[in-house]
Amino acid sequence: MRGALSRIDRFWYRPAPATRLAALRIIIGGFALGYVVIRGPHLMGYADFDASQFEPTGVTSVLSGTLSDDVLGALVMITILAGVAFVTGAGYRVTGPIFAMLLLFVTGYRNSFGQIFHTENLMVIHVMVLALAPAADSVSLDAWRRGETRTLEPDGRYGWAIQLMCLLTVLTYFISGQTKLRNAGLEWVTTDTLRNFVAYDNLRKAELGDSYSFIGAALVAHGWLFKPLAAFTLAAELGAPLAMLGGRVAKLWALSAWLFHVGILAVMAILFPYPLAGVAFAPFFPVEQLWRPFKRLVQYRPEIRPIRVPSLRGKG
Amino acid sequence: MRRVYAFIVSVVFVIAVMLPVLGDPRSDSFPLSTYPMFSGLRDSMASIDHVVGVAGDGSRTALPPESVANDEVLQALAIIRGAVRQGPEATEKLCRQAALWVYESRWENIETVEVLTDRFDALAYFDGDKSPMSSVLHARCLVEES
Repeated sequence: MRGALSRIDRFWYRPAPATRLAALRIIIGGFALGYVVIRGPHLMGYADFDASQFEPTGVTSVLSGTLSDDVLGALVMITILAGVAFVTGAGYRVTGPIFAMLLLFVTGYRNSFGQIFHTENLMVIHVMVLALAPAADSVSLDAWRRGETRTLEPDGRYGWAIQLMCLLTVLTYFISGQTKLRNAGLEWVTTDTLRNFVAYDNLRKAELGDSYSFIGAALVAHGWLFKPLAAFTLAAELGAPLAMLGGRVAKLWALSAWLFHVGILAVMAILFPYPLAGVAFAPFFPVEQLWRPFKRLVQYRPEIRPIRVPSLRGKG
Repeated sequence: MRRVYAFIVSVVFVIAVMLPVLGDPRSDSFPLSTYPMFSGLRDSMASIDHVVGVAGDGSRTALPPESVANDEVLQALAIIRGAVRQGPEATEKLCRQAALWVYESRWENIETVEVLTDRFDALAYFDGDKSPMSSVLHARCLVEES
């Protein structure tokens, strides 16, 4: 028993560089901040929806009614400010959790009008993990204010949060796969279900005046394509936990999952920006190495060599 | 102490994310979800609730999501579906909202707006047969200022 617990502890509390967790804070936090900034007008637009359309979900269940223009607008603006503090690592112990809660709330509000989207779930969950981890010990305004100049030793207190983000990523895909099995069984793969879903989704987009996938619309005529695609989908989802083995297996799975989303975009015109930008899979990679080339550039000092000048002594 | 904190936070997150699995696989929430979209069995028949603009010559144009909601097609679908579920008063209101949008957007030629449920064969649709197999009209209204 002790041996098993010790192995779990070594696996979970695995040492990682503080700079890796900081890089994830910047990458994931930066993406989330960018999302709120770019989608700000869209998020604030929910203030125009009728109260009769309000179906609160998750944290917005505490609301007894819809939010006014002013309140929703203020919440979005404060989320942006908190996001800046999160990304720059300023007052992180306070601003980290504040940004995470506000992000959860404003994205939750968007999902509270009869339609639950599934494009922000993992982004919000990752930000929440980062908010509860020491992700501003390095590469942050907090570290700069403390005068922290030394390179922190890799430590498990940075590694566990990275392991957790990896596990939560694979769990979301695994859950999606097991939901298909629970709702449809293996017939999800052995019947024309995926083909019919692609046709149905493109049809409803066309009949609701939206852009749809011409690729998907053309491919549905070739039914034989879809059973292998369905098998690949289910394999990528149910096989996700293998990514926790790390190394090449993790990278291969991340690539499979990314290709899965490329496929969804191609045949259904459904955009999952967080995984498509690669950010969802960032915890699987040594992302702190991304700024090595820039660090080298900043630290570059050209070597100054003395020039030999011939001696003029004793000559004329 | 740090290890205990890490352990507790990790267990709480994993349990929270896995919790929806214990419930109805068709249920959904945010951000904790079973991701039930596209998870059931599906045949090629599809009933679509939508809003259509009709021109003077009888030609029909599907109105975009912005006419009833925002730029999200699924949000528009949910709004229309909700109105259809609520009944004639709600579909009339939705129809007038869409008609006002058409008027303010200055879409030429569209004279009336209809809220419909059309039934299609999705595979036949992309094989060239775009006409609905059946149609239920919920509301019709004129495009005018108010």
